[in-house]
Parts: sequence; structure tokens; C-alpha cells
Amino acid sequence: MSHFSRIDINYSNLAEIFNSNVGRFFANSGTIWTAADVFSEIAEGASLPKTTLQTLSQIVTSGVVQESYHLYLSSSLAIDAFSSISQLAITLAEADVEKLLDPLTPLNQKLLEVMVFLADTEISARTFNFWQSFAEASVDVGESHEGDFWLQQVLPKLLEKSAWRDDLDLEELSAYRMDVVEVFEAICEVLESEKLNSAVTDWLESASLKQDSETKVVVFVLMKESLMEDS
Amino acid sequence: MRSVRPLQEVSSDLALLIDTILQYEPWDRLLVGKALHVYRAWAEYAIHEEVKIETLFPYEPFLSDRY
Repeated sequence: MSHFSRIDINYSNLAEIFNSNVGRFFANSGTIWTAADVFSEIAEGASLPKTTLQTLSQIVTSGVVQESYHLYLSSSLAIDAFSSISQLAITLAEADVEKLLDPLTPLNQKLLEVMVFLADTEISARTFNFWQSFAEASVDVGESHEGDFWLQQVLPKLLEKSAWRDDLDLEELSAYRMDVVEVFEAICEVLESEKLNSAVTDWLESASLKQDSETKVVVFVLMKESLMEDS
Repeated sequence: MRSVRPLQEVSSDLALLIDTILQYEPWDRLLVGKALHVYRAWAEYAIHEEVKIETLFPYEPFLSDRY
């Protein structure tokens, strides 16, 4: 038994004050990013009350993540601020990854949309654990491959992020590619080959239409190899 | 020799102080930000001490079925 439970401190007041003010912290532009940091860290270490989790989930699925990313792209917001609110979304999604499809409530659907969105941003790599767990968990839900839709959404985004580009830091790209492999493996184990091929081929086709000639060369080689394997 | 105040008193005083800070509108953002950091430190300490979750949040049902 811990020292604190023995002497029976009244912990509830302090927690209650903060948890009952969650909405206010996030409605205030001066405290939102600090609140995101703090609640994200606490949620990682302990279970928060159900009502607090619900409020936090509603906040991160309200469009604030997407909006903060656009503000970051237009240099109106620091990457740290975007990162804070995104990390909170990731923490909440990871905490409930096994329940997101069972059932797929409107709130769960929005949270998955946020996760797909984040897979296509600078913090894409931070979503890897979630997507790997989601793919594994989706196998256990019903028989209708309910997770497939989401995996088909995220796969092209991860492929795009893994593709070589002139403006990328080679070290960062290599690290990304190393880490994304396990996610690809998890997705490949879940998606049927038809869906998998369709998602990859669609991405290759869209890549081949790009202006970047070097990408085209690589993509054509891949497509040619793929066609030869099929025949 | 300095006397040490009971932890329960400190915790209650802190709760009272933070409640007062949050009641003043508009918020002093810097102060509220610091209060949030205090909350984080408090929660980290409690987690480190392995205080039972029911003790931390006795007013809420826990094992959440998703909303």
C-alpha cells in the first residue's frame, strides 16, 4: 500500500477542479496548448475520469487538430502547439484502440479521421503504434473487416510519406522507412490481397501522374515488376 | 526545527488557491498555465506513488465503456 493511501489524503478536490474545468482550458487560446500537453501526459500515465475523457475526445475531434495544422503551415502557429494537440489525440486514440470499431460511434469515427489526417503530417511517425495496434485489433471485430476501410485510407498516406523526395532529410526518411515497416506488415496481415493491391496500385498510379520525373522512373519500375509478378 | 505541514492541508490549500485563480475572469493565462503545470506535477507524483486510481478520482465511475 502506498504512503499516500495510508494517510488518506483528500486527492479528489484538486483533480476535480481541473477535470471540471477541462472545457475552459481548451476554449482559451492562452491555455489550450499547455492544457493539451498536461492532459496528454496525465492520460498516458493514468486513466482519467470518463467524463473528462469524453470532453477531451470531443475537443480533439472538433476540427482543432486540422485547424492547428493549417495554422502551422501558414506560419501562424508553432509546430510545438500543433504537436501538443495532436499528441493528445494520439494518446486518446491509443488508449481506446481496441474499442474504436466496437461499436464505430460517430465520435470514434471522427477520432479515426483525425488519426488518418495525422498520418499525413510531419508527426506521421507518432501514429505508427496506433495504426499497428488498430490493424491487429481490427481482426477481432466481427467478420466484416470493419477496419479495412480505415487501413485502406491510411496506407496510401504512409506510402506517400515513405517515398523519396529531394527536399527530405535522408536520415529522417531512413528512420521513417525503418519504423513504418511494422505498420505495413500489420496492415498486410489484415487486408485481403485484392484490397491491398488496389490500394498500392492506386497510389502508384497517382504517383506516376506527378510532375516529379525521378518519382515517375521509380514508380514505373515498381509497376513493371508488379505486372511481371502477376503474369 | 521546522515543522512540516500535513500533506492533506497542503493539498487542500492548493486546491483552494487554484480554484480561486480559475474564478477570476478573464484568466491570467500565465498563472493558469502554471496551475496546469502544478496539476501535472501532482498527478505525476501520485502516479509515481502508485496511488490507486479510485483514490485519485473517487467521484467517477472508471472502467469506461466508450461513451
